[in-house]
Amino acid sequence: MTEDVRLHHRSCPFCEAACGIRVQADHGSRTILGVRGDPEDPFSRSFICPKSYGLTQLHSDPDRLRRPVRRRGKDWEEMGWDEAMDEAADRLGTLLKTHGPNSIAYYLGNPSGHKAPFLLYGPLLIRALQTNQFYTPGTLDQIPKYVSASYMFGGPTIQPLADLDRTSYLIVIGNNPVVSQGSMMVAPGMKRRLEDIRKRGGRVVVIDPRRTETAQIADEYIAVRPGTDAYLLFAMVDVLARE
Amino acid sequence: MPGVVSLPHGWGHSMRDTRQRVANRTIGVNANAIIDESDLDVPSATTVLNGVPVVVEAVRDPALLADPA
Repeated sequence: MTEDVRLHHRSCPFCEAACGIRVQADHGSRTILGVRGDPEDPFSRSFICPKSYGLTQLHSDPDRLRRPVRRRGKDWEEMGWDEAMDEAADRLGTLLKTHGPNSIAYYLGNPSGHKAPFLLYGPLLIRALQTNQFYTPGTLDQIPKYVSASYMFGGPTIQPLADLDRTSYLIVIGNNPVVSQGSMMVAPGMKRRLEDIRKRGGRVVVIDPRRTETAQIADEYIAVRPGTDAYLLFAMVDVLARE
Repeated sequence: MPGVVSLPHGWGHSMRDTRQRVANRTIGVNANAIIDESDLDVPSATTVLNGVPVVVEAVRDPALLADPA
């Protein structure tokens, strides 16, 4: 190992599970030599998913944006950071004045969503723009959960999350946490956690049209036809109320 | 499950101007192409992304296999 090669302990930036990773980097050639799970991370305990392994390729991907780009008709041209900031400020101002706040949409995703620059300045920018056009990946798959939580618990962010490491009965509906790592549950190493439920005498039930990777390690798998899950839930409520 | 199709979403970064030369070497199919964005879950105004009714048939005209973008 030359002295340019150094080992760095980091959190994987891709999702909120933030698995601990060990990155071997060659500072001479500015290349990533390898990414491994960190066995000393108390949360992820050496687990990482294929996205973390892919960090090496992401870093060296020639298509990765390294400088701001501006669209010119059908083409894109690179520009400097100062110029990009000035142009964004000019054009955001003009848009606000000419077309109002909702002419600007704000899109937030990971990794920026859990990085300091967004946490510090994102809310300020959103408030300054006064737009209600605010989107995240959650726009696709979490908003119904916010709506139901508002009705059931009084607020969108009061979310009932499974206490994976203590529960004795887990029902997974239309979810594949062994692959997704549970998203909002934020629990890296999901397969081990589900297996632990069974090891301590608990039960895991998966309800899904597809026999998923999670279904394969469950005690029971129930197939439902897509689009009929509301009927299943009504039937379960009916049994709870009657019996 | 009989009568059910599972289509893993593949992003569809082959669309025009996405400039993804490397990612396009392992491209998957874009499930958004068959989703009707006007089909909403009304209480949350969220697009219905699953349980989309489909009819599957073999494509015989090679022109139809070309990238629609």
